Amino acid sequence: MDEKINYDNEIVRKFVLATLLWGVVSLLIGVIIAFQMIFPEVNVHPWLSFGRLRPVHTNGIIFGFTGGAIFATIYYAVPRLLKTPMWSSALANVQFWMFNLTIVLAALSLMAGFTQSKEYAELEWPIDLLIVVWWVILAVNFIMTLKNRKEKHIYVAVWFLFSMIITIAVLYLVNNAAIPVSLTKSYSIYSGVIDANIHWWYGHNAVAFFLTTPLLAMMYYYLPKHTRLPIFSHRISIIHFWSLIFLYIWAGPHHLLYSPVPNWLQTVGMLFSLMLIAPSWGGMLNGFLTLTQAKEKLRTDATLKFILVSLTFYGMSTLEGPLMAIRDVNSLSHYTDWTIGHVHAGGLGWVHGICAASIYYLVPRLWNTNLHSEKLAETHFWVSTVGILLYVVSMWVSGVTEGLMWRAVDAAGNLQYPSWVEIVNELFPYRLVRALGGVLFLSGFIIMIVNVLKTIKTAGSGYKPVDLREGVKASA
Amino acid sequence: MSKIKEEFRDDEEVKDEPGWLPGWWMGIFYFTIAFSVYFTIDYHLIRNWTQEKQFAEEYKSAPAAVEETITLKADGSNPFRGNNAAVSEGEKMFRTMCSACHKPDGTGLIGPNLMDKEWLHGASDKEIYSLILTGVPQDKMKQKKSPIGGPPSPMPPKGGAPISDTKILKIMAWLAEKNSSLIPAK
Amino acid sequence: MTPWYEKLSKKVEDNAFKLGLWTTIAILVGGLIEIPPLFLQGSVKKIDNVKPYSALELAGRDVYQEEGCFYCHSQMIRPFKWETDRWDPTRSYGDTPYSKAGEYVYDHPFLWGSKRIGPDLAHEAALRGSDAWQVKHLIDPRETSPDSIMPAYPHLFESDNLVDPEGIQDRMNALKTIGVPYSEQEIQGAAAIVKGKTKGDALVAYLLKLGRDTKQK
Repeated sequence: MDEKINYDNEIVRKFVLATLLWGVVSLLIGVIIAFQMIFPEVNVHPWLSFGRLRPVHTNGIIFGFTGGAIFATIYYAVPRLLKTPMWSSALANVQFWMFNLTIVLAALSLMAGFTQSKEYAELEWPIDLLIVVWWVILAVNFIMTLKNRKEKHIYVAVWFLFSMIITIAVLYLVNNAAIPVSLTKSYSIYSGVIDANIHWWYGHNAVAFFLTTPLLAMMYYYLPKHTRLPIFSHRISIIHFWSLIFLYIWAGPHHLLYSPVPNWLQTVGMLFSLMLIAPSWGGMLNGFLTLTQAKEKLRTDATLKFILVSLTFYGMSTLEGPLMAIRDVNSLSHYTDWTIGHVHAGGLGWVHGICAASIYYLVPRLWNTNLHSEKLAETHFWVSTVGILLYVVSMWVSGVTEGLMWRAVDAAGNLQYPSWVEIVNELFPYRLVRALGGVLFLSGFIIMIVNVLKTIKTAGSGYKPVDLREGVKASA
Repeated sequence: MSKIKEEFRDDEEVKDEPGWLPGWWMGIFYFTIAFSVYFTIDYHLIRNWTQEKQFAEEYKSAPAAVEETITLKADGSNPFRGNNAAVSEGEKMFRTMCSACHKPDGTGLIGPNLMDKEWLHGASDKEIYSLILTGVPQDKMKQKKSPIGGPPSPMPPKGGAPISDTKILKIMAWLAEKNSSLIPAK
Repeated sequence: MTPWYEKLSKKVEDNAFKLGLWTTIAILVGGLIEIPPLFLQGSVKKIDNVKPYSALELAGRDVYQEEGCFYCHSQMIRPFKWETDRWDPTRSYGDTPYSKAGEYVYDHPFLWGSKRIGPDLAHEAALRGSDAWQVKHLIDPRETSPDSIMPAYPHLFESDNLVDPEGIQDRMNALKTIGVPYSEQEIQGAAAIVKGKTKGDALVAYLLKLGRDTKQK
């Protein structure tokens, strides 16, 4: 092993801090809009109304929080896996500042009402161009690092990251094609059904290639690093990587079941979603089967607990998703809170779980000190897990309730609940519980930030890694 | 951050093992692929299923919404008059379905005030019932000015709400309770 | 014994170029099969009555987007009786009162939405066709619909919150270049039509266009 490889940890530290900042801001906005849905008085200002804040929440979480954690991983894990520093530290820093500028501009422009009105692709064309520039910078840096690698074999985490860099570029360019009218306004060049189809091809695969494959890469890196155990099966990795990236792309039309898009397209979307169950579970299996080798440590290690719960939610969401893509289930779940529950099982459970585990892995190593408090990490784990359960369960109940009330008819065939507001009133308690679940989750996140900041205060005091294989004996 | 003089070296390599493919897992994969092929053939090639056909059948086979067991009495009056359960259900329905135009208390917004003594299209149960069913189009409108000022609005059939005839009668029972100038029959 | 896929994978795992190439191919196939067919002639059945948005309606559509109305209101009625009964209670849209592709040909972008926190608006013109009601409801949703959870939009009707008359012509020109059939005359006259109108007026005009062209009686 070459002792002298000069890894740039500074850029990773910056991305970790950005992740925490965008995470807490976006979660706070999420909590605010959850309360707006039960107390409309919380819409206090035109810039802070539900319709303006919702995209700030979604873009902030997806691109700010998750993006930050992904880029931190790229700059930390990729050089180590390829045994060479990043090709260019300067480009990495340029990407960092452009990334943060993008998030700031995104939040301000969305609150001002500048939007392309396509979910998760709301940002207007000047910001889109900015993103294209720093995405190219990231891609060049990534590919050149691959080219310069000193390790011949490319590890599975790098495949997943590579697939993200390629696919997001393709999706982004096609879906954001728009004709500009002014600096703050453009129109999608596609119309109606065509636009819907292209948009959900993008939207679904933003979930796949921004919220799934890079997160799998993080799991494939931090889990064996943290436990010092080998990943259970390379063969599972091969099968599930290639089937996952090939099949995912097709599943977009399941967002458009029973819409005016052609029947054949809907069926394709539904069936490819079903075929995704096994490929998705491959990642979960590889994680679980690796974890079973470290199970005696699960009781005391918060990082491992986050990974375990995260994989559990990943497995659940990737089964629930295909079920919701079945026409008959979708006829009930579509347009309801069930979808919101599903998204947050994935978002709060899977994405945040892996990101939190990554942060707890990275921070002591990056600042060369021990984590301020394992207890606080444990508290973060329990508070956020209870928050997620409150959130997801209340949204399931709420979604099924409203779905059933929409379709309920009396003996004569008349709608039993013709009044919309009556249904909305029925959902109030569930939406209240959801908001409280959100508050808990946000509290957990703030606990993590406090823990990280206190850890940073002791930076440089020397990190002593705990060997998890001996952990039980050492602490007994 | 500059105070981190010595970096922690995190150089240990990540490993994976060849492992194996769990049979049940590959089984799920093969099953979903086989099911997809079967489904496509059955749904699209054999049965030629489309959502449009499904809707047409559903629309045809649904019980006709007009077949109601409850309607006006022989003398034209509302059978729910004085029925407390119906009145309170009617009040709830009015609040959610009619209040948009007539205000929750019935005193009118862009639709006329229903709590005064003035009935523009007749004051009996029979007249009001048929008025609600058919609505008041622009050319039949007798209201000059809406209670909130400005031009009044035509009323769509059933107020534009997906509401059954029985529920209309219950709403009228509540109206009659609040406003005695709505009479059972002429 | 090394299985075939592991041998195959080995070649890609050691070669970054091949890894990138095969990944690109794998992720392109689905899109290439699903997206281009919809651009073919005839894949979207035209409906003759459906007309492009007028200048004021287009301005209103932009306000609808700015305010993010589509996050809570869908504009796509699915082919179920319980949906068509709710949004076509008076049977004004014929035997197939659900949403069809031809209704959206001038929609750049589509605004179907993905969540119904409020009701669907695809047939708004038929359901709540009164502009007075729409204004009242936007200014204070709870006055017309008790217990509604919709935000109030009184600021859209303030006399200084106006539609930009010059901007609307640029917008129509942009849409014309991507295929919306606006005539030169329409674009020339657009500024005069929207002049002095508040954003709220425009939004109401847009809402009353939803479902107007396809209504049969």
